[in-house]
Amino acid sequence: MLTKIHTFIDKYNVPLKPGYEELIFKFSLMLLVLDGSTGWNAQILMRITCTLMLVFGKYAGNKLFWGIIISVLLLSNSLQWYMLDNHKILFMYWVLLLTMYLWLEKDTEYIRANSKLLIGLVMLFAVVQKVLNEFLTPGFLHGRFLFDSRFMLITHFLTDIPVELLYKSKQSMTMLNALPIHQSFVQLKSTPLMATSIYIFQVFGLVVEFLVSILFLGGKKDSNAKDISLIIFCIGTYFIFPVIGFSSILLLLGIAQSTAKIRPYYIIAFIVLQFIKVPWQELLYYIENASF
Amino acid sequence: MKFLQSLENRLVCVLLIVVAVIQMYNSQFDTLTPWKGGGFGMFSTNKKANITAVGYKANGDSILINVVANKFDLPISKNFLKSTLNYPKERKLERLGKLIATSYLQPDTIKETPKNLDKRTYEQLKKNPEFYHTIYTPRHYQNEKMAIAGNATKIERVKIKLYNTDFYEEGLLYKKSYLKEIEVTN
Repeated sequence: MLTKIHTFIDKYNVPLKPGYEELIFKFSLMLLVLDGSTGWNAQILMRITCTLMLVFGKYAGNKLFWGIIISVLLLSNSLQWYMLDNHKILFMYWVLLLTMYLWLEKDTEYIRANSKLLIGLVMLFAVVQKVLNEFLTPGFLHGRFLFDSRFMLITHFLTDIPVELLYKSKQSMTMLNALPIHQSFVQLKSTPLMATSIYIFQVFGLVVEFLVSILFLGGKKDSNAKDISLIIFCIGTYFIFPVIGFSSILLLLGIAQSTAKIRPYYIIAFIVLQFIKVPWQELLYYIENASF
Repeated sequence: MKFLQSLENRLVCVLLIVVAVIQMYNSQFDTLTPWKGGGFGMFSTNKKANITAVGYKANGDSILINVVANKFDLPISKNFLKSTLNYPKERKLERLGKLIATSYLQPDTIKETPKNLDKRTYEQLKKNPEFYHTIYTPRHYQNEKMAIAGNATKIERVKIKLYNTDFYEEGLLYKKSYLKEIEVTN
């Protein structure tokens, strides 16, 4: 019985070519283990399937397993669509692309061209949404830094407003959220310097994002400019907005569409971006306040 | 034929565009937040849906309800509440109202009224201390005896009110604005 199952599974093995193919498939499996799905049921299945595919390398390109992975992702993501972070959705498109590559027996150009387009489209939609909503008006990012507890220590360093006061405002906002009173508000504290510097950063970020989208949608496939812009965007953005999942999938797509010459720089960026996990804000606060 | 071939080659990108366009339509003309739903609108707005609830007991007394999810996802699950806040559709709000109206509500005293609330709200809170002094959280009890021991109460109907919270650079205000309300009877 076991031999029969084994033979059946082996029938769907696609040997991955060393180098490019092996790199992107194994990288994708690793990200699927780390942060590919949402919800315990899908996560358990991903961890088991993808870890075994990585450990027993000949299954890393198994069409049947990739078919199972994308089916689980599609089902689990569709059930919780309005809760999913966008990088999980982007990752689902990427896994769909890899699965189609295996089943339809496409050449590697299929992956390269599509991953370049995917980066460009994601960046373009991110820019369009920012323009449609209030991102261009002064105050969007300023507000974020004042009421989002992930950035409150940065606000403290930039403004010298005591941390206790910032957290007190957070408590007031929690209270406000429970009150059924129209036009009620909490007044926050900041400085003009903070408002100006954050607005400059906000506009600069949008320009870079737009530039990345243009270079990826309209640029040549072997242009280094697009790769440099994406790497700068990832490092510049994700150290402040620590969304490691988004940076990882963007860099993986970057690797998939890049030339062999620029690929090592993406790997270096991936290594550098792992340091997002260092609690910089808390460490700086500790150094500033601890009596050595 | 050539068109179909190129469509097949770019199918995943076409799917991304279709999903993103639908998401943008729903976030611009309906209540879906730009942050979710596959339109890549993260960090594009500070607007966020905010849901409050006021319960009415059989004797006519009104109580303030804390709309939060609970441990073990009973009576309100974390995923359902998150999904409702991200896309507060009418039927989800009705279901939320039903969950609150049928559950036990455990009282908690509000110890301190924040000083940096606006003057009008602060005065309203002071004017009606009985209502604003206690906030009730929907809770699941394994039996009625435990609920009575925990001072939990039941209501006859609930008014679910939907607001938007946003940040205003002028005056540095975190402010909420009323959108709509529904009433659900137990």
